[in-house]
Amino acid sequence: MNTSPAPTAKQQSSEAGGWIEDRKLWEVYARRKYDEPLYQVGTVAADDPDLGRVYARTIFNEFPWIEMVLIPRDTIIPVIEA
Amino acid sequence: MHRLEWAKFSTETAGFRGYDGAEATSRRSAAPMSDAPPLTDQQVLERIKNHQLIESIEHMSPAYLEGIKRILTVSADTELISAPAYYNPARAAPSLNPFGSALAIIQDELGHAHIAYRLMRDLGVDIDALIYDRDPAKFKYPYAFDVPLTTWVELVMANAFYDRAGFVLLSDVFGSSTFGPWKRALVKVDKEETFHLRHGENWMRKLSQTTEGRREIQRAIDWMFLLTVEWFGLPDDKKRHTEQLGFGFKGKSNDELRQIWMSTAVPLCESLNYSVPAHFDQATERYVLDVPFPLAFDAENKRWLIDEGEITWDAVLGRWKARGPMNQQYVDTIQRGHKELKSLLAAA
Repeated sequence: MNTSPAPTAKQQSSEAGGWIEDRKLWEVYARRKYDEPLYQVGTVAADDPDLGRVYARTIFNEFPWIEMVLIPRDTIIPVIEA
Repeated sequence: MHRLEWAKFSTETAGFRGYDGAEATSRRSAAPMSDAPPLTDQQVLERIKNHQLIESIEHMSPAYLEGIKRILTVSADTELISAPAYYNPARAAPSLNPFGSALAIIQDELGHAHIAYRLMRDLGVDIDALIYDRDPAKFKYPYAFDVPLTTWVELVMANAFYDRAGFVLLSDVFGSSTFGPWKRALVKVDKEETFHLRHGENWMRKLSQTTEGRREIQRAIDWMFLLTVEWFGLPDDKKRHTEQLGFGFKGKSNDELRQIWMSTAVPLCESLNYSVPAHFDQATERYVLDVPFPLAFDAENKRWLIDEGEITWDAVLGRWKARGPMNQQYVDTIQRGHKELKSLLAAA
């Protein structure tokens, strides 16, 4: 159990680098047709998965996708690397 | 120097100093980043020769990294600054649907900026500092955007000219770039920029049906055409960053890209009987300008000083570096909210 107090706004604002921008990274996968696999279309940064959904939908709206999913980048385990 | 250190290494490249503080990301995975030394230029060129794309910072040499950051910054800054530049005239939309189309274009541009900045964050660039702490004059986008767009006609001509320039440049990157994550991301950008320039063409045709509309379009062409010709940068024989072609950041040279832009922009204007200061020269099979070039530009009055004759590219570089009338205001618009929230919370 994490017993450390939540940082105050002042503490947060004094951190080096930005904290206003979301830090958690998500890979965005989507597909346009039922007979094609999901493929990576981009990435979004969102600390909250619901916001991640909104960002992904808004930013990668170039095609009428039939499916789109978010995968936390830090869960990906490489098997074969390019 | 180990990789984790050199990924953060602040270079002397103008525009990047002080923005290399973020954690570079190791590929698309949870794997810890290798601490092996960076690749050499020769190793990078070997990989490119073997038709293997550069997928992450671990595939880059320091020179490749600096080069790709430079070109990504220009692309991201250009997309980002187009939002405030387009928003002003979008508010002059003649009705609800065109207003919606203009806002959709702005949203597309912000999406394109997001893609390029996100890629740079994976390369160790502190994007918050780059966007929100940078001096306005250090932003790297074409000078054309520093000249205010104030009317609906100017907005649609920006779609027809500026977005066409963006489309030409990014199509070249899409076709030639050796940086895999950007090349793949440009599928979206290419598709949407096509919509933007079609939007401009359709409105040109519509507005050309009236005398007043024709006069306004011609007035816009008179100042915007040469600004877009300038968009492609220095002539090839004066270009400084030659590694862009060697590393495959771009496929075509500045002059070749300028020709490609003119090869569609000039026929478009001619097909609607507008006057443009360029024509196709049958003998050389190239588009040539009918005015001295480069020229001095009176930004306040949106007027080229043709009577003063040709100036040097050094003088043009001076104008670009000094930036134009809207630079400060547009960057302030982008940075204001971030700064206000930071100071509000700091005072809490």
